Amino acid sequence: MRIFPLLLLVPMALLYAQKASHTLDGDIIDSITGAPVASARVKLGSLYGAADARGHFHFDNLSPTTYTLSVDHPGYLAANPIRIGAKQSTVRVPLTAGGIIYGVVTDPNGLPALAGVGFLVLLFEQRPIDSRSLGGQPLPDGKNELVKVGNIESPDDRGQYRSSLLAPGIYYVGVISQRAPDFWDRTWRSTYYPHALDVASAKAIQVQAGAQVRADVQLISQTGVHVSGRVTIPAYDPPPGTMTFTNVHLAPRGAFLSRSSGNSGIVDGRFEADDLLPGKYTLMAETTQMSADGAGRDQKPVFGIQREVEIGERDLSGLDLELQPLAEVTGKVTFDAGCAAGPVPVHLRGGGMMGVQEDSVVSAADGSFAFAAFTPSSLFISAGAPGMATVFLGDIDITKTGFDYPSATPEPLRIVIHCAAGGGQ
Amino acid sequence: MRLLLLFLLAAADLPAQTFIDGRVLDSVTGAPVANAYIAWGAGVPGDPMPTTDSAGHFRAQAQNKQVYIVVKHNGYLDCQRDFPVAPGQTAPELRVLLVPQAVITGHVFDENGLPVHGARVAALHYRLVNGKLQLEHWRFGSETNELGAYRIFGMPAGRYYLGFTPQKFADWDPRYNARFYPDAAKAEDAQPVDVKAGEEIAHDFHLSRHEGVTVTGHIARPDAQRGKELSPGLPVHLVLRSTEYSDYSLPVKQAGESFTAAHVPPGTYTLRTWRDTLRPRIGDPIGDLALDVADTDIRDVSLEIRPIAAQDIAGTIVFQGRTKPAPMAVTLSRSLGDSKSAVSNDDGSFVLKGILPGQYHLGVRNASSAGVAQTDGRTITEQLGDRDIEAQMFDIGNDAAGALKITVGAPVAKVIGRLLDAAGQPVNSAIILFLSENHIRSHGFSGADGTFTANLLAPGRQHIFIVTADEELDDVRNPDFLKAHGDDFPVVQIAAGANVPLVLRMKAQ
Repeated sequence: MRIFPLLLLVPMALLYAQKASHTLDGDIIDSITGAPVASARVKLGSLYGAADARGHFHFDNLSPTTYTLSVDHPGYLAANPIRIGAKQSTVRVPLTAGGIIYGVVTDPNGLPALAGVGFLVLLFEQRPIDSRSLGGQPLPDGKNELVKVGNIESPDDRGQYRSSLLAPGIYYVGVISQRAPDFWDRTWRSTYYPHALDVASAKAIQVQAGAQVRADVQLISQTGVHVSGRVTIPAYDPPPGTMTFTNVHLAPRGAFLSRSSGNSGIVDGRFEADDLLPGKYTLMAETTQMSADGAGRDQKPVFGIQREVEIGERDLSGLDLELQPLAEVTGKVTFDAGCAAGPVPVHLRGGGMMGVQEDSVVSAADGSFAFAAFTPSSLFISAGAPGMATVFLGDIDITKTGFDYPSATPEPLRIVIHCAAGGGQ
Repeated sequence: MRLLLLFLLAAADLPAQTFIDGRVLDSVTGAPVANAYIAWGAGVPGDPMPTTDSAGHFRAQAQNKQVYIVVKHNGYLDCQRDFPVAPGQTAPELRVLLVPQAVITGHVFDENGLPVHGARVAALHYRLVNGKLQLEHWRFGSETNELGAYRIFGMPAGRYYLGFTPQKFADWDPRYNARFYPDAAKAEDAQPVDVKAGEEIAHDFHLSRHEGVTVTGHIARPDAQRGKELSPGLPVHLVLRSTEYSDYSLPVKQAGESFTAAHVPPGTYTLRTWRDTLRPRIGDPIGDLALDVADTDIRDVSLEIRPIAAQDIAGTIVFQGRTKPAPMAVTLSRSLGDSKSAVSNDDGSFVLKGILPGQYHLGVRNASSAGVAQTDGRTITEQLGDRDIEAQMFDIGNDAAGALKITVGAPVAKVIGRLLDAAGQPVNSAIILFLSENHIRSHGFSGADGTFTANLLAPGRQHIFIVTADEELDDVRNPDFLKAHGDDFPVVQIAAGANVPLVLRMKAQ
């Protein structure tokens, strides 16, 4: 009977000794200057703490196990959690101060941009061109591209914007209006910092860790040209209870900020678009079928066409369009030798008149797949996990470039699945 | 839609060389407002807009006998006006009083005094919805920057309550949860913030942590699905059911089919596997469970997963003042764009078919026989089951949502009159608001000679209020505004049909 309490006491004492012997001391420093970062928030597993004015923190009474250490400070970039070993008693945590780009957006009259009318400040980071990424805008040097980063800011009631917590790097700032031109002065153009219509004339902003860079943008006012043409639609009787409408849309090619024409309806078999700036555009036209009750249900594209046009300094007429029936997008999935064949998800993404649209199907047992008629646009196909597939139209690799739909000579797509991610060409 | 209709009207009728002259003044100081933009009625939409000169003057060419303009200037509330002009003549000078905005700014700090980044501060105000007080967001609020700073601008003067939601900051420490200024869990314990026109006031949040309780549970799937790998993309959310926060959820940790939400404050929640970003498909798995959280832990909640089923929602439209209701198009629209519509029958009944779970907004419009909807009449009350859903987003889950009940008012009484200032001079460009005893709102605009016409949705005793900015139009749903201005004019008795002209004389300020 006397032994029993002793047996109980021994493991408790051991446990106590283990707890008491484990502590963690840490120092949080600025990764560039080496100076201590005061007052950061610290989390060790489910334990919370804070660094003192010298950037030091301390945890005691720790169990002999591994922990995850997280540190957070509002002026610094988010740091990856650190694994703390069971016997580790000290740690140094470097944090990188975030950069800030701020400024005032003024309109072409020199007044602070009106708040609440749809102006948006976009931030682009310059990065080496990545063959696997989609949506980057190549820079004239042919080596780098611009990728949109950070939150989208709107100028406030003073015309001011502020983008913070930026990693050191090279940035561009652009201001757009998200409203259609009819709802605002159509000569006001989306503009890059400081006062440029195109990225080649824009000024790059070098941001160092912790630096604050002022970048005021003044919107440019420039009148564009008038574009018009005749539209021919195949004879068609919509099913009972449905109706059709046709829109024409001119979207700038390969430019983040350039404004599109908006959707132009057809009047007397013609379309017209105003105030387009010189440049390359994709001209898209689509006849859409929908429920006739005004609710816009069950929309599906029926006819369409798209083509590339170049708009110059003068008005352009005679852009005649002959819409054609929209066919299914079909193809077949094949596998590299040694890969396990089977059904794979195939994804379709296009940027038509109604914004980005997507669809997915699963390939059949024989590898075939088919998408219903899609809205005319540049279509991008992917399959399986990112980077796993190379997509061919005929013998041309269209994995990154996509393809124009509808095309004059539609032919099935061919998708080759590689065994490991990153195998795309 | 209103803009589009007016644009179509403008394009249809273009008198030659008709000019609008106007002057824009600060409604508080009376000083001219320079560099204000005169949008719309000044020309074809998209044309360069006139601005006011240093004396606040502007001149613009009218495009239509009925002119519609919007006067905009940073630091002021937008002012919209529509009024008639005689073709070929210069209209009498329009006097536009711009109401200075109110601004609430401040910082948010955590318990250690460190700024809180990426959280949201919103201004809320009380509104009368279906005759009941309800605290609602004024627009969207402001996200705190890395300094913890927020700025809510463009507000009409009034009484507000500030609400804080941690957003991603709750992932760092879930003990920081939604609070009302200065540090209240409930709206009724919040300290009101009064802000005047032209005023910018600062209020900082100093947050404290609250332990709350723990909610644990597991996902319970139908027998047929047991043993299979859990469908990816089936995260569990704990969403606060509140009119103050339409889509606020707390962090939930998941391990396999078990889940834990720590530090949950008391309240009514929905535990569910979907957010408004869901693209629902019939047959996909979904879980949806109401949960009342008090001050003790809740263990082993079973969140039953069922296949998504479409539901039909029946409803009725009741017309006030009419025995035979006009056919109305009723539309439930998801914030992601999907919508379902139905046209009401002769008895006002309708059925919206195939409604899937999501966050919805209700739209009610007159439907002509051609299926083209036109704005006429106005909904007075909107209820789904026992919920008031007027002018707000609301959730529809996988369970039966209940019936829709909509009350629509159509103009039944016409009031003409003249608005004069304390000196007996006509007041133009003001909004005359009528509020019936059962909170039905109607309004008219005063013209250059102070005359106005208002088509009222309800006869009977009416309280009258005068406001000068559109943002203030909604203030008749604000009990504080009603209390402050309820005695500005005597209550009038309005009959159905035409009425004796009113002469309204404003009090000296």
